[in-house]
Amino acid sequence: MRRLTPLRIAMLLAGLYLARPSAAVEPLAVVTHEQAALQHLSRDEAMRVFLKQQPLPTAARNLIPFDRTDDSLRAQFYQSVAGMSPHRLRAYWAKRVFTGRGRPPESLDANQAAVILSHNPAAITYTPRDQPLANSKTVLSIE
Amino acid sequence: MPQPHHWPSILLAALVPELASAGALHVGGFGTLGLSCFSSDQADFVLNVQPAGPGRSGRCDPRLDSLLAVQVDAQLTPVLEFGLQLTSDYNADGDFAPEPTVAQLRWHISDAATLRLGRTHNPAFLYSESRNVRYAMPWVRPPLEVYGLLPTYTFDGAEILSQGHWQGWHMEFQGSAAVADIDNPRANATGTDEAELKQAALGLTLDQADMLFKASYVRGRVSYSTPDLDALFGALRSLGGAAGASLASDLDLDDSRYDLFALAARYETDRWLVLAEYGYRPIDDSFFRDMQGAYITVGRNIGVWMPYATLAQRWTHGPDSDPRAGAFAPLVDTVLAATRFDSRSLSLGLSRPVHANATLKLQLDWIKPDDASWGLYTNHGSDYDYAHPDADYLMSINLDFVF
Repeated sequence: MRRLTPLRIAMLLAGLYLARPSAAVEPLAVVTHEQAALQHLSRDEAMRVFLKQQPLPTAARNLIPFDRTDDSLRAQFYQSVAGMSPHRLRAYWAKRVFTGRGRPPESLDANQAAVILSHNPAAITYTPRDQPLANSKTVLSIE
Repeated sequence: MPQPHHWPSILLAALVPELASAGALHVGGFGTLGLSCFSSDQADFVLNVQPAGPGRSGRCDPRLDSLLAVQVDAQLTPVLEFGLQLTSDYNADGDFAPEPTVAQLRWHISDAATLRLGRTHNPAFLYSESRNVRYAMPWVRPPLEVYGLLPTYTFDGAEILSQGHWQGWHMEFQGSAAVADIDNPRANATGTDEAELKQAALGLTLDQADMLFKASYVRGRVSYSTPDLDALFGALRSLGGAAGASLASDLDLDDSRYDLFALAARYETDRWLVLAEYGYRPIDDSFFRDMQGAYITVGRNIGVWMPYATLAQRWTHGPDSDPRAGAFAPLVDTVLAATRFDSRSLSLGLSRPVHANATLKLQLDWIKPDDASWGLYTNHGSDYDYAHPDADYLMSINLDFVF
Protein backbone atom coordinates (compact mmCIF):
# COMPACT_ATOMS: atom_id res chain seq x y z
CA MET A 1 0.00 0.00 0.00
CA ARG A 2 1.26 3.45 -0.88
CA ARG A 3 2.22 5.77 1.92
CA LEU A 4 0.08 8.87 2.40
CA THR A 5 2.60 11.67 2.07
CA PRO A 6 1.53 15.32 2.55
CA LEU A 7 1.91 15.81 -1.23
CA ARG A 8 -0.42 12.88 -1.99
CA ILE A 9 -2.97 14.13 0.55
CA ALA A 10 -2.88 17.61 -1.03
CA MET A 11 -3.32 16.13 -4.54
CA LEU A 12 -6.20 13.99 -3.31
CA LEU A 13 -7.96 16.98 -1.74
CA ALA A 14 -7.38 19.08 -4.87
CA GLY A 15 -8.79 16.29 -7.01
CA LEU A 16 -11.89 15.98 -4.84
CA TYR A 17 -12.36 19.76 -4.97
CA LEU A 18 -12.02 19.96 -8.75
CA ALA A 19 -14.25 16.93 -9.26
CA ARG A 20 -17.11 18.32 -7.19
CA PRO A 21 -20.43 18.47 -9.05
CA SER A 22 -21.33 21.89 -10.45
CA ALA A 23 -24.88 23.21 -10.42
CA ALA A 24 -26.76 23.09 -13.69
CA VAL A 25 -27.24 26.51 -15.21
CA GLU A 26 -30.49 27.29 -16.97
CA PRO A 27 -31.53 30.49 -18.73
CA LEU A 28 -33.54 32.84 -16.53
CA ALA A 29 -35.92 35.69 -17.22
CA VAL A 30 -36.61 38.71 -15.05
CA VAL A 31 -40.31 39.39 -15.50
CA THR A 32 -42.88 42.06 -14.66
CA HIS A 33 -46.59 42.50 -15.21
CA GLU A 34 -47.31 42.48 -18.95
CA GLN A 35 -48.70 46.03 -18.80
CA ALA A 36 -45.89 47.50 -16.69
CA ALA A 37 -44.28 50.62 -18.13
CA LEU A 38 -40.80 49.12 -17.67
CA GLN A 39 -39.42 47.71 -20.94
CA HIS A 40 -35.86 46.70 -20.11
CA LEU A 41 -33.48 46.30 -17.18
CA SER A 42 -29.73 45.87 -17.25
CA ARG A 43 -28.10 43.30 -14.96
CA ASP A 44 -26.73 46.11 -12.79
CA GLU A 45 -30.20 47.64 -12.48
CA ALA A 46 -31.71 44.24 -11.67
CA MET A 47 -29.10 43.79 -8.96
CA ARG A 48 -29.96 47.18 -7.47
CA VAL A 49 -33.70 46.43 -7.56
CA PHE A 50 -33.38 43.07 -5.81
CA LEU A 51 -30.70 44.18 -3.35
CA LYS A 52 -32.77 47.33 -2.71
CA GLN A 53 -29.88 49.69 -3.35
CA GLN A 54 -31.36 53.16 -3.66
CA PRO A 55 -31.73 55.30 -5.65
CA LEU A 56 -33.15 53.17 -8.43
CA PRO A 57 -33.38 54.18 -12.09
CA THR A 58 -36.53 56.23 -12.73
CA ALA A 59 -38.28 53.46 -14.65
CA ALA A 60 -37.60 50.99 -11.83
CA ARG A 61 -38.35 53.30 -8.91
CA ASN A 62 -41.75 51.86 -8.00
CA LEU A 63 -40.95 48.21 -8.57
CA ILE A 64 -41.56 45.71 -5.77
CA PRO A 65 -39.11 42.80 -6.06
CA PHE A 66 -40.14 39.28 -5.08
CA ASP A 67 -37.67 36.45 -4.48
CA ARG A 68 -38.41 32.81 -5.20
CA THR A 69 -38.59 30.09 -2.58
CA ASP A 70 -36.72 27.65 -4.84
CA ASP A 71 -33.19 27.70 -3.36
CA SER A 72 -31.36 26.71 -6.56
CA LEU A 73 -33.31 29.21 -8.66
CA ARG A 74 -32.61 32.02 -6.21
CA ALA A 75 -28.95 31.04 -5.94
CA GLN A 76 -28.53 31.05 -9.73
CA PHE A 77 -30.25 34.42 -10.06
CA TYR A 78 -28.08 36.19 -7.49
CA GLN A 79 -24.94 34.51 -8.78
CA SER A 80 -25.81 35.83 -12.25
CA VAL A 81 -26.76 39.42 -11.45
CA ALA A 82 -24.68 40.14 -8.36
CA GLY A 83 -21.98 37.46 -8.28
CA MET A 84 -23.14 36.53 -4.78
CA SER A 85 -23.27 33.05 -3.28
CA PRO A 86 -26.24 32.15 -1.04
CA HIS A 87 -24.05 32.60 2.05
CA ARG A 88 -22.85 36.04 0.96
CA LEU A 89 -26.42 37.03 0.16
CA ARG A 90 -27.64 35.96 3.61
CA ALA A 91 -24.77 37.87 5.25
CA TYR A 92 -25.65 40.93 3.12
CA TRP A 93 -29.25 40.88 4.31
CA ALA A 94 -28.33 40.11 7.92
CA LYS A 95 -26.19 43.24 7.91
CA ARG A 96 -28.93 45.32 6.26
CA VAL A 97 -31.77 44.08 8.46
CA PHE A 98 -29.98 44.43 11.77
CA THR A 99 -28.67 47.92 10.98
CA GLY A 100 -32.15 49.10 10.02
CA ARG A 101 -31.40 49.52 6.32
CA GLY A 102 -34.16 47.37 4.88
CA ARG A 103 -35.52 43.88 4.50
CA PRO A 104 -35.03 41.26 1.78
CA PRO A 105 -37.74 40.77 -0.82
CA GLU A 106 -40.57 38.47 0.14
CA SER A 107 -40.17 34.94 -1.26
CA LEU A 108 -42.87 33.30 -3.41
CA ASP A 109 -43.32 29.90 -4.99
CA ALA A 110 -44.25 29.63 -8.68
CA ASN A 111 -48.00 29.75 -8.10
CA GLN A 112 -47.79 32.71 -5.75
CA ALA A 113 -45.46 34.52 -8.15
CA ALA A 114 -47.93 34.04 -11.01
CA VAL A 115 -50.81 35.39 -8.92
CA ILE A 116 -48.87 38.40 -7.62
CA LEU A 117 -47.51 39.22 -11.05
CA SER A 118 -50.92 39.13 -12.71
CA HIS A 119 -52.49 41.38 -10.07
CA ASN A 120 -49.73 43.85 -9.24
CA PRO A 121 -48.23 45.95 -12.08
CA ALA A 122 -45.32 46.94 -9.79
CA ALA A 123 -44.26 43.36 -9.06
CA ILE A 124 -41.00 42.02 -10.49
CA THR A 125 -39.50 38.55 -10.08
CA TYR A 126 -37.47 35.96 -11.96
CA THR A 127 -38.26 32.56 -13.42
CA PRO A 128 -36.64 29.88 -15.58
CA ARG A 129 -37.14 30.88 -19.21
CA ASP A 130 -38.83 27.56 -19.95
CA GLN A 131 -41.35 28.14 -17.13
CA PRO A 132 -42.89 31.52 -18.06
CA LEU A 133 -45.36 33.11 -15.66
CA ALA A 134 -48.83 34.04 -16.92
CA ASN A 135 -49.53 37.69 -17.77
CA SER A 136 -45.84 38.59 -17.59
CA LYS A 137 -43.24 40.09 -19.87
CA THR A 138 -39.51 39.65 -19.84
CA VAL A 139 -37.40 42.74 -19.09
CA LEU A 140 -34.05 40.95 -18.77
CA SER A 141 -32.85 37.63 -20.14
CA ILE A 142 -30.03 35.89 -18.32
CA GLU A 143 -28.20 33.10 -20.14
CA MET B 1 -41.27 54.32 37.34
CA PRO B 2 -39.88 52.90 34.09
CA GLN B 3 -36.29 53.78 33.28
CA PRO B 4 -35.82 55.97 30.15
CA HIS B 5 -34.14 53.13 28.25
CA HIS B 6 -37.29 51.02 28.74
CA TRP B 7 -39.59 53.54 27.05
CA PRO B 8 -38.98 52.28 23.48
CA SER B 9 -39.93 48.76 24.59
CA ILE B 10 -43.10 50.00 26.29
CA LEU B 11 -44.09 52.07 23.25
CA LEU B 12 -43.55 49.13 20.95
CA ALA B 13 -45.44 46.74 23.26
CA ALA B 14 -48.43 49.07 23.10
CA LEU B 15 -48.29 49.13 19.30
CA VAL B 16 -47.56 45.45 18.70
CA PRO B 17 -51.12 44.03 18.55
CA GLU B 18 -52.32 46.61 16.02
CA LEU B 19 -49.19 46.39 13.84
CA ALA B 20 -49.12 42.61 13.92
CA SER B 21 -52.68 42.44 12.68
CA ALA B 22 -51.80 44.89 9.89
CA GLY B 23 -48.86 42.73 8.80
CA ALA B 24 -46.45 45.61 9.40
CA LEU B 25 -44.36 43.95 12.09
CA HIS B 26 -41.15 42.04 11.46
CA VAL B 27 -39.41 40.08 14.20
CA GLY B 28 -35.96 38.56 13.85
CA GLY B 29 -32.74 38.16 15.70
CA PHE B 30 -29.20 36.94 15.82
CA GLY B 31 -26.79 35.48 18.26
CA THR B 32 -23.56 33.68 19.01
CA LEU B 33 -22.89 30.66 21.13
CA GLY B 34 -19.19 30.70 21.89
CA LEU B 35 -16.42 29.30 24.02
CA SER B 36 -12.96 30.83 24.30
CA CYS B 37 -9.84 29.64 26.10
CA PHE B 38 -6.84 31.89 26.76
CA SER B 39 -3.38 30.60 27.63
CA SER B 40 -2.44 33.48 29.94
CA ASP B 41 -2.83 33.21 33.68
CA GLN B 42 -1.61 36.79 34.16
CA ALA B 43 -4.48 38.72 32.55
CA ASP B 44 -7.96 38.34 31.02
CA PHE B 45 -8.84 38.78 27.37
CA VAL B 46 -12.05 40.80 27.12
CA LEU B 47 -14.15 42.61 24.55
CA ASN B 48 -14.36 46.33 25.23
CA VAL B 49 -16.02 46.91 28.63
CA GLN B 50 -16.46 43.35 29.85
CA PRO B 51 -15.26 43.00 33.48
CA ALA B 52 -13.66 39.55 33.06
CA GLY B 53 -12.87 37.00 30.42
CA PRO B 54 -10.88 33.91 29.67
CA GLY B 55 -7.36 33.89 31.10
CA ARG B 56 -6.51 34.80 34.67
CA SER B 57 -10.15 34.64 35.83
CA GLY B 58 -10.54 31.17 34.34
CA ARG B 59 -8.87 29.35 31.49
CA CYS B 60 -12.04 29.02 29.39
CA ASP B 61 -15.05 31.30 29.31
CA PRO B 62 -18.25 31.16 27.22
CA ARG B 63 -19.11 34.78 28.01
CA LEU B 64 -16.57 36.48 25.73
CA ASP B 65 -18.60 36.20 22.51
CA SER B 66 -21.92 34.64 23.50
CA LEU B 67 -24.90 36.90 22.93
CA LEU B 68 -28.51 36.91 21.86
CA ALA B 69 -30.42 39.75 20.22
CA VAL B 70 -34.02 40.17 19.14
CA GLN B 71 -35.12 42.91 16.77
CA VAL B 72 -38.62 44.16 16.04
CA ASP B 73 -39.25 46.50 13.11
CA ALA B 74 -42.65 48.12 12.88
CA GLN B 75 -43.87 49.95 9.77
CA LEU B 76 -45.95 52.74 11.29
CA THR B 77 -46.81 54.53 8.03
CA PRO B 78 -45.45 54.16 4.48
CA VAL B 79 -42.58 56.52 5.37
CA LEU B 80 -42.23 56.00 9.10
CA GLU B 81 -40.72 52.96 10.79
CA PHE B 82 -39.70 52.08 14.32
CA GLY B 83 -36.98 49.58 15.15
CA LEU B 84 -36.07 48.08 18.50
CA GLN B 85 -33.15 45.71 19.06
CA LEU B 86 -32.57 44.22 22.50
CA THR B 87 -29.20 42.56 23.05
CA SER B 88 -28.18 40.32 25.89
CA ASP B 89 -24.41 40.01 26.16
CA TYR B 90 -21.83 39.98 28.91
CA ASN B 91 -21.75 43.62 29.96
CA ALA B 92 -19.81 45.99 32.22
CA ASP B 93 -21.99 45.08 35.20
CA GLY B 94 -20.99 41.45 34.83
CA ASP B 95 -24.42 40.16 33.82
CA PHE B 96 -26.44 39.48 30.67
CA ALA B 97 -29.24 41.96 31.29
CA PRO B 98 -30.79 42.86 27.90
CA GLU B 99 -30.13 46.42 26.73
CA PRO B 100 -31.61 48.30 23.78
CA THR B 101 -28.85 48.46 21.17
CA VAL B 102 -31.19 49.97 18.57
CA ALA B 103 -34.30 52.01 19.40
CA GLN B 104 -34.96 54.35 16.56
CA LEU B 105 -37.63 56.09 14.58
CA ARG B 106 -36.78 55.99 10.87
CA TRP B 107 -38.29 58.60 8.60
CA HIS B 108 -37.79 57.74 4.95
CA ILE B 109 -37.67 61.29 3.61
CA SER B 110 -37.26 60.04 0.06
CA ASP B 111 -36.27 56.84 -1.75
CA ALA B 112 -32.65 57.65 -1.04
CA ALA B 113 -32.65 59.51 2.28
CA THR B 114 -33.56 58.40 5.80
CA LEU B 115 -33.48 60.32 9.06
CA ARG B 116 -33.02 58.15 12.15
CA LEU B 117 -33.76 59.45 15.64
CA GLY B 118 -33.01 57.58 18.84
CA ARG B 119 -30.45 54.94 19.73
CA THR B 120 -28.14 53.99 16.94
CA HIS B 121 -24.68 52.57 16.45
CA ASN B 122 -21.39 54.35 16.12
CA PRO B 123 -20.71 54.27 12.37
CA ALA B 124 -16.91 54.64 12.53
CA PHE B 125 -15.70 51.30 11.22
CA LEU B 126 -16.89 48.91 8.54
CA TYR B 127 -18.55 46.51 10.98
CA SER B 128 -19.24 48.94 13.84
CA GLU B 129 -22.97 49.03 13.25
CA SER B 130 -23.23 45.26 12.92
CA ARG B 131 -20.43 44.39 15.36
CA ASN B 132 -22.72 41.98 17.22
CA VAL B 133 -24.02 40.30 14.05
CA ARG B 134 -21.08 37.91 13.89
CA TYR B 135 -22.91 35.81 11.30
CA ALA B 136 -22.34 38.67 8.83
CA MET B 137 -18.59 39.01 9.43
CA PRO B 138 -15.67 36.76 8.57
CA TRP B 139 -14.12 36.48 12.06
CA VAL B 140 -15.35 35.35 15.47
CA ARG B 141 -15.17 39.01 16.52
CA PRO B 142 -13.87 42.23 14.97
CA PRO B 143 -10.13 42.81 15.53
CA LEU B 144 -9.75 44.75 18.79
CA GLU B 145 -6.62 46.51 17.57
CA VAL B 146 -8.90 48.68 15.42
CA TYR B 147 -12.39 48.28 16.86
CA GLY B 148 -11.14 49.00 20.39
CA LEU B 149 -9.94 52.47 19.36
CA LEU B 150 -13.44 53.74 20.11
CA PRO B 151 -15.05 51.05 22.26
CA THR B 152 -18.37 52.88 22.58
CA TYR B 153 -20.87 51.63 20.10
CA THR B 154 -24.39 52.71 21.02
CA PHE B 155 -25.22 56.40 20.91
CA ASP B 156 -28.42 58.39 21.31
CA GLY B 157 -29.03 61.12 18.78
CA ALA B 158 -29.88 61.81 15.16
CA GLU B 159 -28.46 60.30 12.01
CA ILE B 160 -29.03 60.95 8.34
CA LEU B 161 -28.40 58.27 5.72
CA SER B 162 -28.31 59.20 2.06
CA GLN B 163 -27.68 56.88 -0.87
CA GLY B 164 -26.62 57.72 -4.39
CA HIS B 165 -25.08 56.34 -7.55
CA TRP B 166 -22.00 57.64 -9.29
CA GLN B 167 -20.15 56.12 -12.25
CA GLY B 168 -21.41 52.65 -11.40
CA TRP B 169 -20.58 53.02 -7.70
CA HIS B 170 -23.27 52.79 -5.04
CA MET B 171 -22.63 55.45 -2.40
CA GLU B 172 -23.90 55.84 1.12
CA PHE B 173 -23.33 59.00 3.10
CA GLN B 174 -23.82 58.91 6.84
CA GLY B 175 -23.87 61.88 9.22
CA SER B 176 -24.75 61.81 12.89
CA ALA B 177 -24.66 63.78 16.13
CA ALA B 178 -25.11 61.82 19.32
CA VAL B 179 -24.25 61.32 22.98
CA ALA B 180 -23.44 58.26 25.06
CA ASP B 181 -22.96 57.33 28.71
CA ILE B 182 -21.02 54.12 29.19
CA ASP B 183 -19.99 52.19 32.25
CA ASN B 184 -16.37 51.17 32.40
CA PRO B 185 -15.49 48.37 34.85
CA ARG B 186 -12.57 48.85 37.24
CA ALA B 187 -9.83 46.30 36.77
CA ASN B 188 -9.46 43.68 39.50
CA ALA B 189 -12.32 45.24 41.42
CA THR B 190 -16.03 45.50 41.58
CA GLY B 191 -17.87 48.57 40.39
CA THR B 192 -17.81 50.75 37.33
CA ASP B 193 -17.00 54.32 36.44
CA GLU B 194 -19.00 56.26 33.89
CA ALA B 195 -17.69 57.92 30.76
CA GLU B 196 -19.70 60.57 28.93
CA LEU B 197 -19.21 61.15 25.23
CA LYS B 198 -20.72 63.48 22.68
CA GLN B 199 -19.68 63.27 19.06
CA ALA B 200 -20.45 64.06 15.46
CA ALA B 201 -19.57 61.55 12.75
CA LEU B 202 -19.36 61.59 8.96
CA GLY B 203 -18.95 58.54 6.79
CA LEU B 204 -18.89 57.74 3.11
CA THR B 205 -19.12 54.20 1.73
CA LEU B 206 -18.57 53.36 -1.93
CA ASP B 207 -19.22 49.91 -3.30
CA GLN B 208 -19.23 48.39 -6.73
CA ALA B 209 -19.54 44.68 -7.42
CA ASP B 210 -16.64 43.14 -5.46
CA MET B 211 -15.03 46.31 -4.13
CA LEU B 212 -15.96 48.46 -1.16
CA PHE B 213 -14.30 51.51 0.37
CA LYS B 214 -15.28 53.41 3.47
CA ALA B 215 -13.90 56.61 5.02
CA SER B 216 -15.09 58.03 8.33
CA TYR B 217 -14.33 60.99 10.50
CA VAL B 218 -15.49 61.41 14.07
CA ARG B 219 -15.03 64.44 16.31
CA GLY B 220 -16.14 64.28 19.89
CA ARG B 221 -15.60 65.19 23.52
CA VAL B 222 -15.23 62.76 26.40
CA SER B 223 -15.26 63.01 30.19
CA TYR B 224 -14.17 60.18 32.45
CA SER B 225 -12.90 59.99 35.98
CA THR B 226 -12.31 57.48 38.73
CA PRO B 227 -11.80 58.07 42.46
CA ASP B 228 -8.07 57.26 42.12
CA LEU B 229 -7.59 59.67 39.22
CA ASP B 230 -9.55 62.40 40.97
CA ALA B 231 -7.34 61.98 44.04
CA LEU B 232 -4.14 62.22 41.98
CA PHE B 233 -5.25 65.26 39.97
CA GLY B 234 -6.51 66.94 43.16
CA ALA B 235 -3.13 66.41 44.83
CA LEU B 236 -1.31 67.77 41.78
CA ARG B 237 -3.48 70.87 41.81
CA SER B 238 -3.21 71.54 45.54
CA LEU B 239 0.35 70.41 46.27
CA GLY B 240 2.16 70.51 42.95
CA GLY B 241 2.26 74.28 42.44
CA ALA B 242 1.55 75.92 39.10
CA ALA B 243 3.33 73.15 37.17
CA GLY B 244 1.32 70.45 38.93
CA ALA B 245 -1.94 72.28 38.29
CA SER B 246 -1.02 72.67 34.64
CA LEU B 247 -0.19 68.96 34.37
CA ALA B 248 -3.45 67.96 36.11
CA SER B 249 -5.36 70.07 33.63
CA ASP B 250 -3.54 68.39 30.73
CA LEU B 251 -4.15 64.86 32.01
CA ASP B 252 -7.68 65.23 33.31
CA LEU B 253 -10.17 63.63 30.93
CA ASP B 254 -12.75 66.37 31.31
CA ASP B 255 -14.58 67.37 28.14
CA SER B 256 -11.41 66.41 26.22
CA ARG B 257 -11.56 66.47 22.45
CA TYR B 258 -10.95 63.31 20.45
CA ASP B 259 -10.93 62.66 16.74
CA LEU B 260 -11.07 59.46 14.77
CA PHE B 261 -10.01 58.95 11.18
CA ALA B 262 -10.89 55.57 9.75
CA LEU B 263 -10.36 53.97 6.36
CA ALA B 264 -11.58 50.59 5.14
CA ALA B 265 -11.22 48.62 1.93
CA ARG B 266 -12.73 45.26 1.05
CA TYR B 267 -12.44 43.00 -1.97
CA GLU B 268 -14.87 40.12 -1.81
CA THR B 269 -15.79 37.49 -4.34
CA ASP B 270 -17.15 34.01 -3.91
CA ARG B 271 -13.54 32.85 -3.77
CA TRP B 272 -11.50 35.57 -2.12
CA LEU B 273 -11.87 38.00 0.73
CA VAL B 274 -9.29 40.71 1.31
CA LEU B 275 -10.21 43.21 3.98
CA ALA B 276 -8.20 45.97 5.65
CA GLU B 277 -8.99 48.79 8.05
CA TYR B 278 -6.97 51.55 9.62
CA GLY B 279 -7.92 53.92 12.41
CA TYR B 280 -6.13 56.86 14.00
CA ARG B 281 -7.55 58.34 17.21
CA PRO B 282 -5.76 61.41 18.57
CA ILE B 283 -6.99 62.87 21.86
CA ASP B 284 -6.25 66.23 23.54
CA ASP B 285 -5.75 66.95 27.23
CA SER B 286 -5.95 63.44 28.53
CA PHE B 287 -3.94 60.76 30.28
CA PHE B 288 -5.00 58.62 27.32
CA ARG B 289 -2.64 59.04 24.41
CA ASP B 290 -2.98 59.10 20.64
CA MET B 291 -3.49 55.64 19.21
CA GLN B 292 -3.67 53.98 15.85
CA GLY B 293 -4.60 50.49 14.79
CA ALA B 294 -4.69 48.48 11.60
CA TYR B 295 -5.42 44.99 10.37
CA ILE B 296 -5.54 43.03 7.17
CA THR B 297 -7.58 39.86 6.65
CA VAL B 298 -7.23 37.42 3.77
CA GLY B 299 -9.70 34.58 3.31
CA ARG B 300 -10.25 31.98 0.63
CA ASN B 301 -13.42 29.98 0.05
CA ILE B 302 -12.67 26.34 -0.63
CA GLY B 303 -15.98 24.63 -1.15
CA VAL B 304 -18.01 25.33 1.97
CA TRP B 305 -14.92 26.10 4.04
CA MET B 306 -13.28 29.47 4.42
CA PRO B 307 -9.84 29.54 6.00
CA TYR B 308 -8.71 33.07 6.83
CA ALA B 309 -5.82 34.90 8.42
CA THR B 310 -5.68 38.30 10.08
CA LEU B 311 -2.64 40.36 11.00
CA ALA B 312 -3.37 43.25 13.36
CA GLN B 313 -1.45 45.85 15.33
CA ARG B 314 -2.12 48.65 17.79
CA TRP B 315 0.26 51.56 18.44
CA THR B 316 0.26 54.23 21.17
CA HIS B 317 2.02 57.59 20.85
CA GLY B 318 2.85 59.85 23.76
CA PRO B 319 5.27 60.54 26.60
CA ASP B 320 5.84 58.08 29.44
CA SER B 321 6.55 60.81 31.97
CA ASP B 322 6.23 64.56 32.47
CA PRO B 323 8.76 66.84 34.20
CA ARG B 324 5.95 68.87 35.77
CA ALA B 325 4.99 65.90 37.97
CA GLY B 326 7.72 66.67 40.55
CA ALA B 327 7.28 64.51 43.64
CA PHE B 328 4.26 62.85 42.05
CA ALA B 329 6.31 61.48 39.16
CA PRO B 330 5.95 57.78 40.14
CA LEU B 331 2.15 58.11 40.27
CA VAL B 332 1.94 60.13 37.03
CA ASP B 333 4.23 57.65 35.26
CA THR B 334 1.96 54.81 36.42
CA VAL B 335 -1.12 56.54 35.05
CA LEU B 336 0.61 57.22 31.71
CA ALA B 337 1.82 53.63 31.53
CA ALA B 338 -1.69 52.36 32.26
CA THR B 339 -2.91 53.53 28.87
CA ARG B 340 -0.25 51.87 26.75
CA PHE B 341 -1.99 49.02 24.94
CA ASP B 342 0.43 48.34 22.08
CA SER B 343 -0.07 44.83 20.81
CA ARG B 344 0.19 42.59 17.77
CA SER B 345 -1.81 39.56 16.81
CA LEU B 346 -1.96 36.92 14.14
CA SER B 347 -5.27 35.10 13.84
CA LEU B 348 -5.92 31.94 11.88
CA GLY B 349 -9.50 30.90 11.41
CA LEU B 350 -11.80 28.51 9.64
CA SER B 351 -15.50 29.03 9.06
CA ARG B 352 -18.18 26.82 7.60
CA PRO B 353 -21.93 27.31 7.15
CA VAL B 354 -23.60 24.44 8.99
CA HIS B 355 -27.13 25.55 8.20
CA ALA B 356 -28.77 28.16 5.99
CA ASN B 357 -28.77 30.50 8.97
CA ALA B 358 -25.79 29.35 11.01
CA THR B 359 -22.01 29.41 10.62
CA LEU B 360 -19.45 27.58 12.72
CA LYS B 361 -16.13 29.38 13.24
CA LEU B 362 -12.90 28.28 14.80
CA GLN B 363 -10.21 30.89 15.42
CA LEU B 364 -6.77 30.77 16.98
CA ASP B 365 -5.18 34.10 17.94
CA TRP B 366 -1.51 34.52 18.69
CA ILE B 367 -1.31 37.72 20.74
CA LYS B 368 1.88 39.53 21.74
CA PRO B 369 1.73 42.79 23.70
CA ASP B 370 4.72 45.01 22.93
CA ASP B 371 7.37 45.55 25.58
CA ALA B 372 6.20 48.13 28.14
CA SER B 373 2.54 47.56 27.35
CA TRP B 374 -0.51 46.16 29.11
CA GLY B 375 -1.77 44.71 25.86
CA LEU B 376 -5.47 44.61 25.05
CA TYR B 377 -6.21 42.85 28.34
CA THR B 378 -7.66 43.59 31.74
CA ASN B 379 -7.46 42.23 35.30
CA HIS B 380 -3.66 41.94 35.16
CA GLY B 381 -2.06 39.99 37.96
CA SER B 382 1.00 41.12 39.89
CA ASP B 383 3.05 38.60 37.90
CA TYR B 384 2.21 40.23 34.55
CA ASP B 385 5.57 41.22 33.08
CA TYR B 386 4.83 44.75 31.85
CA ALA B 387 8.40 45.26 30.59
CA HIS B 388 8.47 42.07 28.53
CA PRO B 389 5.00 40.52 28.24
CA ASP B 390 4.69 36.96 27.00
CA ALA B 391 2.95 35.93 23.81
CA ASP B 392 -0.28 34.04 24.44
CA TYR B 393 -2.88 32.06 22.54
CA LEU B 394 -6.63 32.55 22.43
CA MET B 395 -8.72 29.74 20.97
CA SER B 396 -12.38 30.36 20.15
CA ILE B 397 -15.12 28.19 18.75
CA ASN B 398 -18.33 30.03 17.94
CA LEU B 399 -21.66 29.23 16.36
CA ASP B 400 -23.11 32.40 14.80
CA PHE B 401 -26.76 32.37 13.78
CA VAL B 402 -29.62 34.54 12.60
CA PHE B 403 -33.32 33.87 12.80
